[in-house]
Formats: sequence, structure tokens, C-alpha cells
Amino acid sequence: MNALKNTGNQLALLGLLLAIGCTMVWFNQAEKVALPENRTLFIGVWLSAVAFAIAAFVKKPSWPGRIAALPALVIGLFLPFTVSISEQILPPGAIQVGETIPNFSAQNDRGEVFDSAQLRGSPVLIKFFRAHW
Amino acid sequence: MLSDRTLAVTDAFGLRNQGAHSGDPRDEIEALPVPTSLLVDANGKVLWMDVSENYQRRSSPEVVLAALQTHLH
Repeated sequence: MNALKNTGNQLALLGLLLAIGCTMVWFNQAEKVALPENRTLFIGVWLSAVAFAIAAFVKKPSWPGRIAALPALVIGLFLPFTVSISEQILPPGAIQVGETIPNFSAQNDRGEVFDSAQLRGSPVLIKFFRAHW
Repeated sequence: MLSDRTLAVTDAFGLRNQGAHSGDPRDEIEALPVPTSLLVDANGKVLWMDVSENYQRRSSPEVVLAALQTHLH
């Protein structure tokens, strides 16, 4: 409990709680496909966590504070960075509503070749997304 | 589910992201498709599409269902 009397430790703990709390809300909303279009509040809280972490180091925390401040700093900088590189830009000539989809073939998860000709005859929803398997 | 490791299908549709690459740095290809949903009719014509302005946001189920109800009634 003596560690909490250290101002640096207090700042570090606050920064860590802000970083973790904000990140938990972020991923919770991402899971529900409900991330807001305007992420300013999230970025503000993460950067506040960074500010608290830096202030903690200035106040010379003991080792518990240093352990708390470091992840606050990393999380608080990394998540806004991912937001900054998240913009998607389509090239000229991207498919538009009203156009016919191109013919294509691709491998499915069983290693079999799928041909787009199989899609003709009924409506279909096609989703492009990133994934690994 | 289909694999498009070389982005050949992505390029055929013109959906290769021109923004910063946010994928796994260990991947051979340094690009990803823009997350996109397309509703296509029985003749292959695109009826509706939803393009994510950033990879952290995707078409919600409600948006997709509304599109299905609108275009496939």
C-alpha cells in the first residue's frame, strides 16, 4: 500500500486504468460491429493515458509505477496509431453498383477450386475481408 | 469461404486498398482488400455495395439485412 502513496505510482496506475478501460470498450464495440465513425473520444482517452504515463515517469515512480506506466504508454500510443492507418482507399476503376462482377476462380478452405460461374442463377452476397487460416 | 492470397480476385473487382498497409508484416503481399460487401443478382449485376472507409468498421448485420430486404423483395 506504500507504493500508492508515491505520486508517480498513482499517475502510472491512472494511466494504465485509462488505457486498459478504453481498450476494453474499443474491442467490445468492435466485436459488436459498433465502433463509432468518430473515434476522437477513444484517441483522447488513449493519449491521456500516455500523458499520465509520462507524468508518472517525471515524478520518478518506484518499480510498481514503472511497471504500470510502460504498458499505459505502449497501449496509449499503439491504438491511436492503428486508427491513424485504418483509412481505406479504393483505386480508380473499382467495381460500382450496376456493373457486372468479373469472372474469377479461387481456392476454398478445402483446397478445391471454386469458379464464379457457379454463382449465376441466384442472388449472392460477396464479402471481401482480411483473414488467416 | 475462399482464399485470395495473391489478391487476383481483389484486383479483378478493383478493391485493393491504396491506403497504408495494415496487415501482417509477415505476409508476402503488401496490400489488403478494402473490406467490402456486394449484393449481386442472379445475372451477376451488382445491386448494392458497402465499402468500409476504414478497416476497423464493417457493414453491420442490420445494414446488410436492410439491403437484402430492399433489393431482393
